Amino acid sequence: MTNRHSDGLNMEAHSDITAEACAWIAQLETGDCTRADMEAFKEWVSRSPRHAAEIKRMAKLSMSLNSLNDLAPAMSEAAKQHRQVMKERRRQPKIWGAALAMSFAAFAFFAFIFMFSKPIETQQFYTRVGESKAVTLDDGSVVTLNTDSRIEVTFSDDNRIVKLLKGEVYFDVAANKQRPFWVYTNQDRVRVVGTEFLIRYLADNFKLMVTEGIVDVAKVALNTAASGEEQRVLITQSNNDDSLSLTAGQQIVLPHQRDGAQLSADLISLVSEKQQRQELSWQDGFHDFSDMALVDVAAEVSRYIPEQVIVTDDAVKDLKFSGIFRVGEPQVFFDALKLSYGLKVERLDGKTVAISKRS
Amino acid sequence: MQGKNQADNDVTPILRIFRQQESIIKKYLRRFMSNRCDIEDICQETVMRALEAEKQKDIQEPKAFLFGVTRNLIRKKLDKDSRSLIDFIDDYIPKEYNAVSASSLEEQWDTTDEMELFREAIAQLPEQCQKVFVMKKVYGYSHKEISAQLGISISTIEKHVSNGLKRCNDYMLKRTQGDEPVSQLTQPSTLARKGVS
Repeated sequence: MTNRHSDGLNMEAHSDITAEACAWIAQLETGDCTRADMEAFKEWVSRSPRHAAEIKRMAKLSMSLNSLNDLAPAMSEAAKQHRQVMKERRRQPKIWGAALAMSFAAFAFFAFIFMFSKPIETQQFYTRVGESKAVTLDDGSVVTLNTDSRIEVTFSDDNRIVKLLKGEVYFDVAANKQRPFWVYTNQDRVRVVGTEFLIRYLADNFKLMVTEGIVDVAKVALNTAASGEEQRVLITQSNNDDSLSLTAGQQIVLPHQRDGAQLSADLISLVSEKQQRQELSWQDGFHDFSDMALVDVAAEVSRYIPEQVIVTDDAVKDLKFSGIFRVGEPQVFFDALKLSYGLKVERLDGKTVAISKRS
Repeated sequence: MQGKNQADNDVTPILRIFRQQESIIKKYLRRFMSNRCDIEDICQETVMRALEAEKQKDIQEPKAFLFGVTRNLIRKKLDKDSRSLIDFIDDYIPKEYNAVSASSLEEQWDTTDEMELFREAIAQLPEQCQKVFVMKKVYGYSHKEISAQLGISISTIEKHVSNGLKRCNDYMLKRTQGDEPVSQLTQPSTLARKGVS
């Protein structure tokens, strides 16, 4: 602070005067003061010109704040709309039951919080097929989206929430224990405290691989993870559910068809540093496969190109494939299959590339 | 009251609605003030003003109009109370101090952004304190009404009001005198947008 308030030693004392002035205003505003109170007030104002100036200043501030009254109609309107939303949500009585029972004032208050807290904005980021993109978020965290991915980012004062709608994202999260970082997919919830990890959320499974720090993962009910607000409720509701902690060098793969199944530590596996590098090679624009079943390689390559690569021949599905080539240049991969593995690669139509044994 | 002496066929739509709504308006006013004279005064003032307005133009929604007038009068009363509080305080300030000008608010922050500043100041109050402050300053509720709604004592409310005022003051001084940039998250448009969404 600059001006008159900062004449050195008296800073502390001055703050006390302000606090006392506020207390007096609050009491005077009740209009309920005894003669003794008024004597005490008279004594207080007479202590110094500063006391007098401060009480006047606070009285004026209190009056200026009356202008907030102009917000009342807008807020009542917001409260009304909020009530309507609440009615539609009655099927979630556990979460909102208490709120539903509250009086008008509480609803108005909710509307107030809603209007007065920092606006919470949701941003979306996405990549097209074959594209990858690194995005620095407002808190300094960096998220790198792999091919055909989409995330929704909602930051508030208390939480950082990223919803992974589809695809694969590598997170490098800026540590902030006061503002936990949450990642949601439709069915899994991940809580993070300053760490680096990869989440892949594709049609058939969810995969989390941790490369640094600790990450918690938990399951959430499918139908409740639909919108940002409901997710926030989930966070407060289920802090004590059974979640798993993963540390660097661990990963967990959860097939989607495991509804009702509990997370268990058995599902956690170790990932060597070499494997981790390979898993993340897309960030440098490469595919890096070593001894991977051909059918898996084909599925992986397909994620980056408009065509679908399939293995039509059961005999070669499990053939172990190794090789490094650039993302988005499948021809190199196809050539390798033909030249080094002696396989047949043919385009069936505009959308499908079939791999089979040369007959 | 002038309406009561008029023949029934002279009863205007506003007056008819007022008679229907009078007890509801009074009940409404009790939220904001406990003094029965104040309530009577505002109730009377409401109907006088509404009748005056009715002479000039047709009133489409008499009920909404009446409550609108009541609201405005409540606001006026709040301001009047605050001004009389300032006058009241002036009476208690020793004469020799009067030369010392109270640093006026206008010197301290730009009043064009005042609402936004107030909004931010209140947003950073602790929860219960914020509740009390909103009910008092935004809705203009009386301490008694706040006490009934929140189930806390009058003295607790007083404590919250005092604390809230102090925090608002500190916040606004910090924001307007400190060096930190204005938060980019709180553009003035925010309020309007949130209000309609």
